[in-house]
Amino acid sequence: MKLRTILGHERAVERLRRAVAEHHVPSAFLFLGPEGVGKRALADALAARLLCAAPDEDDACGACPQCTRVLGGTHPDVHIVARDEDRRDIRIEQVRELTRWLTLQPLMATRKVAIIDGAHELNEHGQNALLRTLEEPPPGCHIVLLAPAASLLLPTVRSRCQLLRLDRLAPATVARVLVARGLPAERAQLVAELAEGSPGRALLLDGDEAVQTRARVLDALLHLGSRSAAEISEVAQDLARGPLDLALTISLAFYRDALELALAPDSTPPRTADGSPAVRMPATARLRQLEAVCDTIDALGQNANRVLALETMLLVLRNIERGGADREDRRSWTSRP
Amino acid sequence: MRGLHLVQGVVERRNTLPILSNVLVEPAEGGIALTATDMEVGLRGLVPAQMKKKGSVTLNARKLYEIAREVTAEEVTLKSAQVGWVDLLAGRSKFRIVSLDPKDFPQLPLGTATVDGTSVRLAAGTLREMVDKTLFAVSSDETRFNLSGVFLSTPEAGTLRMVATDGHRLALVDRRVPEVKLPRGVIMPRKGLLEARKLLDETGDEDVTVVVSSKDVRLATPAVSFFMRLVEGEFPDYQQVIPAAPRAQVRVNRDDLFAALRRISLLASERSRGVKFQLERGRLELSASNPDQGEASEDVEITYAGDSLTLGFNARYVIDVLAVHGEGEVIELGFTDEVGPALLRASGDPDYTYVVMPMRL
Repeated sequence: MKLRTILGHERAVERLRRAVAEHHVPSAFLFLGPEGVGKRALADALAARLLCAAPDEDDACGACPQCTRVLGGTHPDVHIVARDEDRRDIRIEQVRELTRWLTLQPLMATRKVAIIDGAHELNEHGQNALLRTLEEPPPGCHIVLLAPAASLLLPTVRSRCQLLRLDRLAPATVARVLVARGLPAERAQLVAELAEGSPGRALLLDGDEAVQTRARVLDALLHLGSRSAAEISEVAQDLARGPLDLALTISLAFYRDALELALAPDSTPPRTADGSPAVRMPATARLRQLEAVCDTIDALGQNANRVLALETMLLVLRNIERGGADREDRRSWTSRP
Repeated sequence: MRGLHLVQGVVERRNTLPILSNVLVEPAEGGIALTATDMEVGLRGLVPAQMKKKGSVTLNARKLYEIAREVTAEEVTLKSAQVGWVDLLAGRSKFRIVSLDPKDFPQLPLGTATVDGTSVRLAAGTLREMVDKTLFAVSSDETRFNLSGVFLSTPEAGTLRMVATDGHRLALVDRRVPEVKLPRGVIMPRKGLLEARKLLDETGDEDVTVVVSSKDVRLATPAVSFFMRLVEGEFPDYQQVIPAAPRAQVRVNRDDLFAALRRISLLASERSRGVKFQLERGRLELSASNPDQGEASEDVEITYAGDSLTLGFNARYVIDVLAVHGEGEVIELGFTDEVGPALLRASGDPDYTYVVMPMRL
């Protein structure tokens, strides 16, 4: 990805191009923006621009040995730090490794770029370990931190970086990104609507597994009101076997739409057209349902049992749907010590 | 097999990039070249082979090594069957292994062809010895990155120097290497040197070509080439800590001091490892005490004619350097005073200087 081929984010791209052209690239950048909005693509494009051997018109050429390796992810002077899949945060060893790597001379290019993809996943120790490096990076080094929000980082880290915000993209732009990735236009349009301005999220919503999960989640949520506790338990077990993150994301979108519908009954049909809640309910109830989903996401983030958490959530959602009391049910999962 | 064993050591263990777990197999003069790297060091070994059809593949280094270790056939055949797969035939065994695109393999500064480097040939043994005499003194403090490696320089034409320090001690070794002259000194990282050291072990008595450029240091023998990236930064001015004319001169047998110090340091406090050196005419008393465990002392016979002097040293720092000196050497110690740096040399090797700071006990 070159800077020029980044779709949307025109202001951010322009700012980066100018910074490079004027040799004012800060040694520490912090890209902020929602998950999947294109922070990493932009960071990669910046890396290519910085390391390119023959840049033209303020952009990487995309063809020199430097560019092809940056874009292929095998450039020795680009270092990516990201959370290991089976971990809850970025290990402090990874930060130490980065610090040491930064002290080495570049191998192929004249400078080096480090990208911390998910800087908010550094724990406090990790962030503190990074402070010295952010303040005084070795010469010829650029560090780019990516995070969804500045508030997720220590103020000491934030204040040492130059901020660059990436806004959510318009659905049409998301669709263009998806089409550029080879999605049929019609499908791109549909998932783009659901993606909350984030091409990354849209891609997550595409694919066979996602389509199936979506059908199962919508089926579960639409028929909640008429399900018995035993049936709900079965549904929970079924969903917990699949991609749970996705199931919860879809649930969130579902209730957000429902809330929108409750607030503006005359508005256009909700975006989850094929699965809009049949029952009209007061906005406060929808809000409580949304809250229940958020609480579950939190609980799972703290290692709650997948099946139990999901089962509890579905029960709470059902009780709200039926107009019953939900507070007792929920407290068991979400009250923290 | 040997080639595989060598490259095995440098493949990426952390698995950040799948291609780095692989070894690149490509045609080379007289056979094939096996290349592996973790982007910090890299190694290429030449293996005699016959090429029926030229082509490159990359294969998982660990699996390839394991297979090579288990198969009994003298020869193995590699055949790139279809894109993404390689067939490995060895006697009656057949393997089909995943291969990643060789184009994704990083371009590495291997070989002796260089644009801006200085090339020098020396015996592998000399290089090995220089590394052994300095590497142990490298700082383990990661935040002081300019001390995290061994500084390689040429103080004058024809002299190759390696220096390492961690701020408490310093090891400096000079060796004559005809006509060598580097435009500026470079810092070689500990990890790169450890890998280079392994390679030098395998090299025996051959000559190695060392190429020093501003970004990397390469080693090459006819069969193997190796590179390490260098540390960025300025090595501190180390000359000023080397005492020019120590006041008290002591001569002592290396083996006596080494053994006694190891014994006495057993009762030094765990944290400081401090051992007291009490100098008297003809006699050095080593003593250590540790409030939790007890105390120890021992007399060592020395040649010394000056006034009595008492200093404390971290036993580890002195033991480290005595360990790399040969058995039976005569060690010359030079002390300034209770707080000034002490000098340690062997009379048989005046070009190896070690400086250690005393500690308060």
